[in-house]
Amino acid sequence: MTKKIVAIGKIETGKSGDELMCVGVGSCVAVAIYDSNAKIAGVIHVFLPTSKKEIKDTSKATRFADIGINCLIEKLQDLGAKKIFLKAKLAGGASLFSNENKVSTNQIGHRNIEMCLKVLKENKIPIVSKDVGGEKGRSVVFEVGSMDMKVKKNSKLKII
Amino acid sequence: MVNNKNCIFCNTNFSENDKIEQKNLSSEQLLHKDFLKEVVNIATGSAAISLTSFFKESIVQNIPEIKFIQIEDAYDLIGNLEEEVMILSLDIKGDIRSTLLMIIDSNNIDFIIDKIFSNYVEDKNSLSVEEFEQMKVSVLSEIMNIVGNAYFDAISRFLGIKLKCDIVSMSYDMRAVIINQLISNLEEDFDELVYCKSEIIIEKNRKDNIENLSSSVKKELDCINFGELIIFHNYDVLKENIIEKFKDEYYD
Repeated sequence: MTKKIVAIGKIETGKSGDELMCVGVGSCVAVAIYDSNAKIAGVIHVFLPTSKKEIKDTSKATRFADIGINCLIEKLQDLGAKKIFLKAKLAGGASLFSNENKVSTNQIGHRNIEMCLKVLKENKIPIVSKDVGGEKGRSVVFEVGSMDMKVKKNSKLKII
Repeated sequence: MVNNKNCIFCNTNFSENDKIEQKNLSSEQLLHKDFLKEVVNIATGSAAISLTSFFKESIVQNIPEIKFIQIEDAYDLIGNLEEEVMILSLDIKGDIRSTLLMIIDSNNIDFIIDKIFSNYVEDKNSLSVEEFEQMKVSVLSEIMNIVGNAYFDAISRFLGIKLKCDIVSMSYDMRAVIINQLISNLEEDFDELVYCKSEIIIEKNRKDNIENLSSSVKKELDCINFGELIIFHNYDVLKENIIEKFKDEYYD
C-alpha cells in the first residue's frame, strides 16, 4: 500500500490498496476517476477552471479542469483502464471567503465545479458521488480498491 | 557584482542570507529578492505602526521572508497544513493585482479581541454571545482593513504605483487553504511564484528601554505573534511590471 500526496495542480494514480490524498482542498476540486474492474484510479487536484492561453507545457495542463481531466483519463487508459468502465467522485469547490455582507468575493470554487462536471459529462463518465461547494476547506483521501472517497470537513469525516 | 549591492534605504546586504536559504538563485533573482524584501519590509512596518493605536504594547516586525518557488513547493512553506487558523483576506487591484492574507493563530484571537474590547467596549460582559461574535467579526475585519490599507498604501507611495483595496473577507479554516486561495486568486498561468511573508509581533510586557536590554532578556519578553502577512505573486508579471522599472532607481 502506498500513500501518495496529490499536490495542487497535479495528478497521481494508484492501484488497489493505494491511497491518494489531497490536503487543503479549498476552491480547488479533487476529482477521482476510477475503473473498478481494472482496480486502477487516479486523482487530479485542479485549481483553475480553464486555461486562458494554449498550454504547451504538459506538466501545467493538470492545473486546469478543462484540459487536466482529459489528461487523467488518458493516463488511466495508458495504465489499462477502459473508458467505458470509468466512474468519478469529486470534492471541493468551496467559496472560502465571505465578508460581512455575506457576499462571496471569489466565484472560482463554483466555476471549478461547473467545469469539472462539464468535462466529465462530455466524456460520458458517470458521477457516483460528490461533496462540493460550501464555505469550508476539505481534506480528501481516495482509497483505490474500495474506491471510497473520505472527505474531512469541519473536523468531521464523511465517506462518499 | 550583485552580492555587493546594498539597499540605499537601510544599507542592508540581504544577499548574504539569501545564499544560505536558496542557493540556486541567479544573480538577477538575488537582486529582485533584495528589492522585494525592502518593499515588504516598508509595507509591514507601515502595517505595524497602524496597529499601535489599538494596543498599548510595543508592536514589532520580523525581517520579511521572500522565496521564489514552484507551485508544488508552496505547501512546504506554511506549516501544519490541517491546523485551523483565522484567515483575513484583502484583494488589491490597480497596477498590480494580488491578495494579502493575514493569518492569526487561533490561540491568539482571544488575546487580541480582549485587548481591543478592554480599550473600546465599556462592559463586554453585557454583550450576548451573538453580539460578542458579531463584534469579533467586525473588529477583525476592521483590523485587516487598517493593516491592509497601511501595507498597500506604503507600497503605493514607495513605488509610485496605483493600488486600490477591496473589502475584507475572512475564513476560519485549515492552513492549507491559504495556498489554495492565493493561487486561485491569481487566476492566470504562471511558472514561478514569489512568496512574501512577514510577521507582526506584540510584545506583551514591553520595557521602555528595550534597545538597551541584552538579547537573552529580550528573548524572555512575553511576545505574541499577532499575525503573518502573506502574499503570492506571479514572478514574471511582477518582474515585468514592477521590479525592472525600479531596480535601477533603488539600488546603487
